[in-house]
Amino acid sequence: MSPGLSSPQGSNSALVRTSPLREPQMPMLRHERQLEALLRIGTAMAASLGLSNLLRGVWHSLEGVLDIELFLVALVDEAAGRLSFPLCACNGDELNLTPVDFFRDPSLVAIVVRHRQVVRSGETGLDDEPAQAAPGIPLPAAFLGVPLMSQGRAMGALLVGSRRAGAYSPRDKRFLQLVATQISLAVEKSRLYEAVLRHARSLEERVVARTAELQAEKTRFESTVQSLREGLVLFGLDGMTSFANRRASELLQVPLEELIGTHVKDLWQDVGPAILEREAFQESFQRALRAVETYPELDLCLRDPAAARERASEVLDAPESGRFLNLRLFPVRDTAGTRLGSGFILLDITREREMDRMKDELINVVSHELRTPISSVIGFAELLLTRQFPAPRQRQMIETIHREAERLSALINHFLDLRRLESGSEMMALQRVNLSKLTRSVAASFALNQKPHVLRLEVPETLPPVRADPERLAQALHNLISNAIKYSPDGGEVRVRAQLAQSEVVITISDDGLGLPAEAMPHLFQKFYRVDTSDRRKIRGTGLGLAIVRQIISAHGGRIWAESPGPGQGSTFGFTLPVAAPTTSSLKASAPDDPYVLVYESDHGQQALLCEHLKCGGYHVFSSGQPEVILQTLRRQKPIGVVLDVAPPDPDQGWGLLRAIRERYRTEELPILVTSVLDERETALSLGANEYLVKPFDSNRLIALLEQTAKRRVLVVDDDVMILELMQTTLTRSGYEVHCVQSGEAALDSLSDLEPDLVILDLMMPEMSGFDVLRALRDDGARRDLPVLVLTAKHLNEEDQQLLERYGAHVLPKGHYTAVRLRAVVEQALREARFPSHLAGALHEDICHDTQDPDRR
Amino acid sequence: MTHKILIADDDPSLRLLVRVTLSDSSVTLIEANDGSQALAAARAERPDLILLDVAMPGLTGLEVCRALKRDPTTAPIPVVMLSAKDKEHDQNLGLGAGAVAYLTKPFSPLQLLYLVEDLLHEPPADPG
Repeated sequence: MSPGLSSPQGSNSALVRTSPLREPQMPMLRHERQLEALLRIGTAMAASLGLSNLLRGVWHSLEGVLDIELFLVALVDEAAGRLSFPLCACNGDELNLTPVDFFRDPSLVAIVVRHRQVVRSGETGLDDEPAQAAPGIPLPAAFLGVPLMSQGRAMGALLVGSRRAGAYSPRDKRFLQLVATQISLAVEKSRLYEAVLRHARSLEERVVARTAELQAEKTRFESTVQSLREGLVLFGLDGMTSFANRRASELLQVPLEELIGTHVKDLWQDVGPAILEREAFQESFQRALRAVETYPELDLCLRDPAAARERASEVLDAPESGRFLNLRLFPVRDTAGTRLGSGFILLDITREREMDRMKDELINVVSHELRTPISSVIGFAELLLTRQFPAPRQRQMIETIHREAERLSALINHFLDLRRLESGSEMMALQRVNLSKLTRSVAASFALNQKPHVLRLEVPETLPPVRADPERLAQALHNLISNAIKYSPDGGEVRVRAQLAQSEVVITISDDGLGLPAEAMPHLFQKFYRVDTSDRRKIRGTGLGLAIVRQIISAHGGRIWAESPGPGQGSTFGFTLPVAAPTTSSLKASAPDDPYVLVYESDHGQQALLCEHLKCGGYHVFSSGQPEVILQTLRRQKPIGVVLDVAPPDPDQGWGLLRAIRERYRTEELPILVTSVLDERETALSLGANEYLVKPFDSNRLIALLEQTAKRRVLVVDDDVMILELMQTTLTRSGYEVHCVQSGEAALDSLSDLEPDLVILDLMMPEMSGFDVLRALRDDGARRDLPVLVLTAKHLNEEDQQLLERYGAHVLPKGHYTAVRLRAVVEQALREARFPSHLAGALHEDICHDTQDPDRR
Repeated sequence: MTHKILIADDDPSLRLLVRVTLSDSSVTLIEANDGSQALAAARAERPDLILLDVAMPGLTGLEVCRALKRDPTTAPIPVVMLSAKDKEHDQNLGLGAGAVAYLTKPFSPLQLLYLVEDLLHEPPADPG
């Protein structure tokens, strides 16, 4: 073994091979003490895990066996490239040394680590001995430095020093090498321990975090389950309940703590809620439980606690105020598919049951109400067909058939009306309605057959018009008046009053009849609700009348209510309607004079009937059952309205025709009324129909609709009141809606409100002349095509004529016209708004008077 | 010989139908428009046959029929129920109340006529 520099491995292996006991030069005592120290160090190392304590122990153990004034341990931090000093003791004091650059530091300890060399004062093998043992610590006279090795790498160094030169012998060097080996192992162990500790700590942190997560998840799951609208009960394979949410406790009327930890069977038995037909239910529950794999469901009915108290004994018929629950069983499995138990959810189906009950009731009422009039219709028809009767009897029978058929039709309409109103599909055709006039006409329908009753109307003419759908409003009024009459069986006065209250009109209908009990008040407008008092049982009704009225009034944005001082003291029904917004004054036209209506109807009988009605209504009619003929006629002359029937088996033919007409004329240009036995209102309106009538309909209604929709508006502009009056009279008689203004400015102002189909214009007016008005019209893009008929007393020079032609105005000299000529010119002007004049052709009364179906000729 | 028949129905059209249907037969028709009237008329007039509507205000036809059958003086009079209720359950209720026949509305007047004639010429049912 060389006494000089040796590789650490070399010296280590030498140490292993060379027992210190065989060293002859050392006095026995020191050697023994060194061995003892080594043993102590080894034991301490094995026990201790804290690095600084351990190093401190080594230091103190060495103090007795070596001269030590300096004891220094350096360790490499590879990641940071630094050398740190976990322990540095100098003359008995521990110093804190700052870590240094491992690669560059010039002190001895750094060199020992870098070179992995054992150094002893006097045999360093270095050309230049460093001035410092460690940063800031001068090199002592004697020193021993040993690298700390681990798996062939230097992890640090151990350095001892003494003021006494020659304090360390080569044997001391080998001893220190042994100590260094121990320290290396201890550092390694300590590092490993720290790593394990760190790992354990991070594991622990992860466990804590995961536990918190699971807790949060559990809380989330629980609050979800607790918030369900459905009740949930879970139970194990042994049948013991393990979980139930609050809703289940609520629905079953059992405290939550009693629901959990009990056997499902006992759920229905001991703590069981007020189940109706308990035994039967228990049996079906057990049966369902056996078939839990099929996800069975069953219903149960719980008596309302209040209702239960009132009933002394268990009655089996359905309770008035019970709670119906739907119970759905399911098997519970873990993710691997192993059965853990079962569960059920509970749903409150009381409302659905109630709806079902109402539906059944509706069907019963409907079938009964329908069969009653049908009995008379069928019965009398059969008698008329099989037997001979004297004429008066025959008439009586036919009248009965007619009356009962009408009742039937009304009933069907009632039901459909309510359905439409409720679903909101019924559109209100809101317009300005004269309430006084409407009330009178509704009242008139009662006047004939209600002798013991007096109907008193207190609806002032001076009331402003209301915004309403006249037909629906009439229906509401009719229902209310009819109720007032019906429920005052001993006769008496029925008063209809209307008065203005701010921006609404309040209408009341009162009678001196049976009156209403207080408990009926909240239910009066509910469907099928009927006040059940003995005096009322004799009075029939569908239970839908007031429900319809309420729907109608609320669709108008009105309120409805009922009042009664009590039974036998009469009742008052009231509602409000909004007042219509004011518009320009207009003088409504009376009856149409000579307009022509185009009728498409494929059924010949129906066609003849319809033409007859329309002719009675003062219209000329052209009818056909062939779409091509209808379109041809339409091309030749524009009618004032079209009545179009859509009929099975081929409704598409009717729809097709409707589409074809709408391609030519917009909704506001040509009204189309669609009639049908089908209830296809939506389709009809979406394809551009103005109105839709379900057959059978009242022919008066058809004519009223035609009048409403078919009237074309003419705006007459003249400063001469005489001329205005003349035009008003003549044109109104011809079926136009005439509006008069006295100046060009007023004409332009009223355009957007009126949207006239034609303007009749005077040229010579003060302020704004007819030419100015025309120019303004033609400059306005929307009115470039509005037909204008110039009526003038002025002699037109060539320039004037050119100007008028450029503006596309028709000219009629004043004083040169008769009523017939005026109408012809107006019609031509209206027609030419769509057709260039050369195509308009000769068209006239000949086709207007043709009511024959061309395909029958 | 003329027979007395009582028709009880709150629907005047139906009473007219029965009246016209039976107008050729030698029948005197008594009319009632509710249950209690029917019961009173049956007791006072002792008709040979009673036609009862089921759904009448106040006393129903079923209640009237049961009352008639309880009263020994009216029990032998055959009762025909007329009703818009056509379920088997309703028919059973009618027959259970003691009616001999149950006619569902709408019915054929001829059918009613034949039924009435049969019942009038049959010996009265054994009340026991």
